Amino acid sequence: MNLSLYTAASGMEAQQMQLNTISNNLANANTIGYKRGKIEFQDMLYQSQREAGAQTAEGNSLPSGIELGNGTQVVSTARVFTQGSLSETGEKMDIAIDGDGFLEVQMSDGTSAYTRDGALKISSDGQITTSDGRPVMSNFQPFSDGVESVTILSSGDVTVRLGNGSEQTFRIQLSRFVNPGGLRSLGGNLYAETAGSGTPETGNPGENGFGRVLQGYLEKSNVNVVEEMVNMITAQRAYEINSKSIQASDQMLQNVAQLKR
Amino acid sequence: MDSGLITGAYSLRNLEDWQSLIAHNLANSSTVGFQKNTFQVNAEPVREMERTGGKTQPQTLLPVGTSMRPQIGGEMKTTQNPYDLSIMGEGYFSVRGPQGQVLYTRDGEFHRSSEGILVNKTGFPLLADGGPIELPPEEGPFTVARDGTISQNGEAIGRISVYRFDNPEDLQRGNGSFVLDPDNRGGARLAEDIEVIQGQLEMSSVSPMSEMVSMIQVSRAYEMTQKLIQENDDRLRKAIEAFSV
Repeated sequence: MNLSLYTAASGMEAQQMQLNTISNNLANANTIGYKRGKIEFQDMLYQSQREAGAQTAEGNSLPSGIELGNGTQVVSTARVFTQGSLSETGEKMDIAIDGDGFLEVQMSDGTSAYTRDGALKISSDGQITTSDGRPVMSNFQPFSDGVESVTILSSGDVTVRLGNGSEQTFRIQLSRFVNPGGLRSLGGNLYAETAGSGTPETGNPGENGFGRVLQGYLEKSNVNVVEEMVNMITAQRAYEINSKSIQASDQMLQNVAQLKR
Repeated sequence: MDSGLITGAYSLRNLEDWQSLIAHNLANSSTVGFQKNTFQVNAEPVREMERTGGKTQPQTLLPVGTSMRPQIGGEMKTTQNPYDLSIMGEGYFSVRGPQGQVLYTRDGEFHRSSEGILVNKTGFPLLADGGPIELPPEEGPFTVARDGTISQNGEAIGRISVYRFDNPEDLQRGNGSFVLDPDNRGGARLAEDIEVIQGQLEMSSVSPMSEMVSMIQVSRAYEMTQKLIQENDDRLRKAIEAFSV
């Protein structure tokens, strides 16, 4: 007996994980380039005590059987890579990707990570970096001294005008994954390639389904705060109601214990 | 033997099953596309007792529980995520399982695999026109029309296969929101007049309110049956005391 105790416990655990995901989404509601997490559930294995269609002693077949489920399970915490809203900053080194694509970032161990956070900085030696100082690859060239203006077109063409009248030009490349939902989150707005995401494919912005690059804009997170709040209410109530199942099962066990006086 | 004790014990067992079923429904109150179970108790005659007891003894009926799966859909939730699909009305999506078998589900949360194939959350490909559907990333976003036709870059690339069943009660439940149709007993047939909606999910069909009410019923019935068994026990004890020397 009391399958129901464990069943309800699986429900509470799932709701706890749901709440963790919601909290993380809410905490990152203002993180540039953040993509909201989404938790996905499935029901667990069933125990069949009496199968539908089985023969009875009278020779009839049962129209329905008894199938008892074992609760719920979390199967994935995917990220939803829908477009976040774009906000204008006017900052020359802020870029937003409108559509598919990631910027490639070099990690300290030499591997690549990918980000949608386009709040770029210029380091003291002219290198383009992320806010936390990691070099951005994506075909970015180091800037020479005496930068007067930087123009980035939606096609990814960058023109750097220098104080001595000379110009430096190059074109940004974006990386794309078949299944961005399968990327591993590294924190710091960075994602790493996995077998689930597939290998990155590089291309020019605005071509072959790659997104456009917008200078002076940043992509906000795609978290919808109202929706998360509603999800939080649902999760909390579901948690509560699962705890009631446990209480009821407990009460039943207590009744059994009282059978013999 | 005292049939009251046996009936009581049977009844307790059934109520435990019912409670398990309620706990399972409640645990899945946020599982997308989950179809709730309902419990039904029938009184079944015990024929051996009937024969020996004759007409003077009341017929003993033992409670026997069965679980049912009503074909009721859950509420629809708009998500705006293009990979979320839902079926209006009856019908199931079909996916190909690991052993090549076809699994049916109403869970419409899909993803794109690293090979570009439209798969469900456990990686089983969604079947359209009987086979998996591939969405190359260079073709851009895809759309699903109301009749289930998937198009990418303005070109139709397949139609989602939605199945209905002639004998839905013969379907088996599988792990992970799937129903199985072993030996085609359920009579699966491809549905033509379907309505698929993109960017919308069918939530669990569990109503926490009615489950809570059932749970109260179970708890009280359990208590009552327990009292019944105790009364029977008391009566037996008194009889033993009265007639023992």
